Amino acid sequence: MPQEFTATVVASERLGAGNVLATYAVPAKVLGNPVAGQFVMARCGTTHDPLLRRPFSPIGWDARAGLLALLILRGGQASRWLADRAPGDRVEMIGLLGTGFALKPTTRRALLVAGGVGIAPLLALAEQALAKEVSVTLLAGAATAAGLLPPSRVPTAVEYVVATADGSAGHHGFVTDLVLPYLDWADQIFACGPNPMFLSLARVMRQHAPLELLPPAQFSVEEYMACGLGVCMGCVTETRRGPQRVCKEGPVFDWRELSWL
Amino acid sequence: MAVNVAVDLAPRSPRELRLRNPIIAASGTFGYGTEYAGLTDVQSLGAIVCKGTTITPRRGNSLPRIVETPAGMLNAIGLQNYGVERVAREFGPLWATWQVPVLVNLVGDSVAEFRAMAELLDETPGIAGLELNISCPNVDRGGMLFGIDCAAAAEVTAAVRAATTLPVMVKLTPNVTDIVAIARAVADAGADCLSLINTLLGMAIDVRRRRPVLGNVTGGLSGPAVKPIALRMVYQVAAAVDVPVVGIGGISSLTDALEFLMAGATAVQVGTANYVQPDLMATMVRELPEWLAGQGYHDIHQIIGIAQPEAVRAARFPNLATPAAD
Repeated sequence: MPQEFTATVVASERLGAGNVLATYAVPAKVLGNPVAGQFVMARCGTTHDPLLRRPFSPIGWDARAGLLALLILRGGQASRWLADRAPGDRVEMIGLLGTGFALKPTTRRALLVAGGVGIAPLLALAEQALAKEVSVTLLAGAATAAGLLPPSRVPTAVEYVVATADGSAGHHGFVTDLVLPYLDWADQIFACGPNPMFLSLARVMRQHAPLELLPPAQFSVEEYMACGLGVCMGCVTETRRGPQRVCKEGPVFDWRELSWL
Repeated sequence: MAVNVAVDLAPRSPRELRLRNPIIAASGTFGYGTEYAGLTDVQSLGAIVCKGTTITPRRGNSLPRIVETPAGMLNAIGLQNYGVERVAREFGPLWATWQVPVLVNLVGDSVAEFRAMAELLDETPGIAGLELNISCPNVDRGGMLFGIDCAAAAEVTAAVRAATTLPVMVKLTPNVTDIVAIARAVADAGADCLSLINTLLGMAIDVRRRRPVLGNVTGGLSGPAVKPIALRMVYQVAAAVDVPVVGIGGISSLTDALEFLMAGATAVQVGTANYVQPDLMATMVRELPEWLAGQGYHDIHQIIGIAQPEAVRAARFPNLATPAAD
C-alpha cells in the first residue's frame, strides 16, 4: 500500500550538466517490498508552482539502511528544484506506486534498453538481476554525453553500451541502433524511455523475428501524470484491453499489450 | 465546547443530505473513494463525489490528457469511466457500509440519459445523492452545453428531480456570461443544492512542436489559479438563490475553504489539491472546528455568508454571527 512520507536528503552528487544522483533517508515502511520500475510521486516545491507532484522511478535503494536514490535530470522548474536540494533538506513523497518489472525466474540473460532518465529503474533492475546471477547488458541512449549515467555508476558486471544523438559519447545515433546483436542472446528484454524509443525498438524486434521467437519484453511507459494514484485517468496508454493507467496497471507493460506499437 | 460543523445540503429533500462536516471530495479527483485508502482517513470526510459517470462506459480522450499550467492544470480526460450500471453494482454495496456519504456525479448526452441514470440510482443502496454535471453537450440541441442555457439547464434538472427522490446537486459551469441566471433557473427547477464552479475552458500550446498540448486541444483549468474566479461566482450565486451552495475551485487549504464559507458556501469541494496532498481534506476536517473554536464560534453557520453585504446576510443567512469590527 502506498505511503505518504518525508524523504530527507543525505547525499546529492553532481553527475554533470546539473544532473544529480540524490540519496534520501526514508521510513522503513516505504521499502517493505520494492520492485524495480515502481515510482514515487515527489513534491517539487513548497508553493503552488509547480503544482503537481512528479513521478520518479528510484535508481536504487537499500531497504535495511532505509535509503532511496533518485536520478534527477535537470530539466524544467520541478526537476531543478528537486536537484538543488542539499543534504538535510526534506522532500514530500508518495510511494512506492505502480507495477514494476518482473524478472522471470528462468531468465539468465537480460537485455536492458534505456532512453534518457529511463535508465533509473533499469539500473535498479540490473542490481536485482545480478544478485540472481543473471547476465545483464544495459544499452543506454541520451541526447548528449552529459545526459548519460557515468560508467562508474554502473556495476562492473554489467555490459554497458551507450549511444548519443550528437555523437559526444559512444555510438553516434539512437540506442535502438545497438539492440539487434543482442536479440538472439537475451531471454528477457526490459526497456524504459520515451515513446519514440519504444516505437523504434518494437520495429527492430519485429523485423528480426516473428513474435513467438522473440524474447518476452516489458516496456516501462512514460506519460504525464497528475495524481499517480490511479484517480485522475490522465496518464493512460492504449492497450489491447483498452486504455490502461500508466500509474496503476503500469508503468510496466508487456510490449505485446501496447496497441500503439 | 463542542463546535457544530454539520451542514444540511438538501433541506427541501425527503431524503436528507446531512454532512458531518462541510469538506467534500470533488468529482474526478477522488476516484470511487477506494483509491486513497492508506493515504488519508476517507471516512472522516463530509462526503465524496465519485468520478463522472455516464450511461455506458467511455474510453476517454486521446493523449495527452493533462498539462500543468501556472498554479493549475488543464485536463481533458474525456470521462473515461465504468458506466452507471457497473458503478451501482460494484460500488453501491461498498458505499452502503461507509460512514461517509457518496454522491454519484452524472454526465449525460441528453435529458433522457440523465433521467435513465437517475431512475437506476434512485433505489440503489449506498448512494446518498446525485451531482449533475451539466457542463456537457446536449445532442438533442445540436451539442450546445446544458449548462450555458437557462432553459436546457432547468429542463435536465427538472427531469432528474422527477425521476428520483435522491438529493440532487447541480454543478454549474463558469463558462457562461451570467452564472446567477443559470443558478436561479436550476434552483427553481428543483435542485436541492448547487455546486460551483466546474473547470474553466482553457488551452496550452507546445511551442517546440507548434501545436496544442492536449489531444483534445482544449481542456478544463483547475487548481489555485481559478480560486478568485470561483469565489466571486459563489459570492454572487449564494446571494441570489435560496438553496445551499457548495463552493469549488482551487481550494488548497483551510483558509481557502473559509473564504468560500464566508462568501456564502454551505460546504466546499476540494479537487485538484487532492492530487498533491492526499491527506489535505482530512486535515481540514480536523482543523475547521479548532479554527472556529479559536475564534469563539460554536457553529459553522455563524460564518457561512458572513462576508456578504448586510441586506443579503439578513435575507439569506439568519444564523450568522455579527461580523467582527475592523
